[in-house]
Amino acid sequence: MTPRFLACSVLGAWLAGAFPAGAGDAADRHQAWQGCLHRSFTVQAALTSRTLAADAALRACKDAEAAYLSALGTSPLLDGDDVARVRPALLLRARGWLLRRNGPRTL
Amino acid sequence: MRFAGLKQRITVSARRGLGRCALAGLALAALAAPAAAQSYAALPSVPSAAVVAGDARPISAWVTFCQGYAAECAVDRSEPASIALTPGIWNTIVSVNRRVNKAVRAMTDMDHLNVPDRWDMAEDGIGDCEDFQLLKRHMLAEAGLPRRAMRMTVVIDEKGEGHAVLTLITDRGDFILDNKTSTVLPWRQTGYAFIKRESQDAIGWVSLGRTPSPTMTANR
Repeated sequence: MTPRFLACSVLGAWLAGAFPAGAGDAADRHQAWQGCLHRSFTVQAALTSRTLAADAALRACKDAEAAYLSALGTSPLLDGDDVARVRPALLLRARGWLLRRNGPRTL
Repeated sequence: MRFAGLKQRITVSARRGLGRCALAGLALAALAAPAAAQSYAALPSVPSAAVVAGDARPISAWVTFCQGYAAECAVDRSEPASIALTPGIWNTIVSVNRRVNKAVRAMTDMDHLNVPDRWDMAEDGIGDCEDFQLLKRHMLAEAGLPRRAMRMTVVIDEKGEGHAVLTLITDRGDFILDNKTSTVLPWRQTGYAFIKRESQDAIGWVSLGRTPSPTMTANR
């Protein structure tokens, strides 16, 4: 097992920890997505610029994002079209949140 | 019917000043209402309004609501599409928002009625987000504000969940009435992502532009 593979596995498992078992509603999934983004951003920001780290975090947390959007679509106030329409705004909002709220850190 | 009691309790002081009336009378109500905390003078001088992007599918519980409360959903195109704000009207808006938020007990429809979603006007003093806003609109319309300029709106809130608020379309921009806060905020200051709202031109819904609010507070 190479160190890189090991690192990726650990990172993957760590990010996956963002999904609490049984979390079903949109708020839980949203929190899980934000947790994933925060953790991923922290790792990436130590290696690259904050802007690139934010983009990388959004890519790394696509599963959590999908889980959140899927839960959001079950809200009585929203339908699938609404969720699809608002997705770009939510991604932009999350990116802004990462860049504003997560100061530079070193691992 | 508890609705009558609740509404009477909330509206009694506003009606003392307003009668049925006459926007001119709103200034008198302002003097009586303890709503001065949010001053008219502090409102943004540059109006900002959400952009309508096209038709959207209505919420099924709203469709059911409209069958039972047709007058609440009717769109009168002869009414002004925008509220001309004055200090008196502003104080009435702030006062109604605060009073309803205080008077209605928040509870999900599932906990309250064992249904996922039901829209009403918190007739029994209990309601969830949309019920607060429907009651506010009903009261503001009775006070003389044009219903056409008060649109039920769906947003994504700070917790990432769907949430209903009331948008007041005014000559000073769009303002949001919300059961989560008794501060009436310009729409862009809410931090919400705006999804859709009732149409001003027909009984239906329209989607809103994608621009996210710049001041989203993830930990609000």
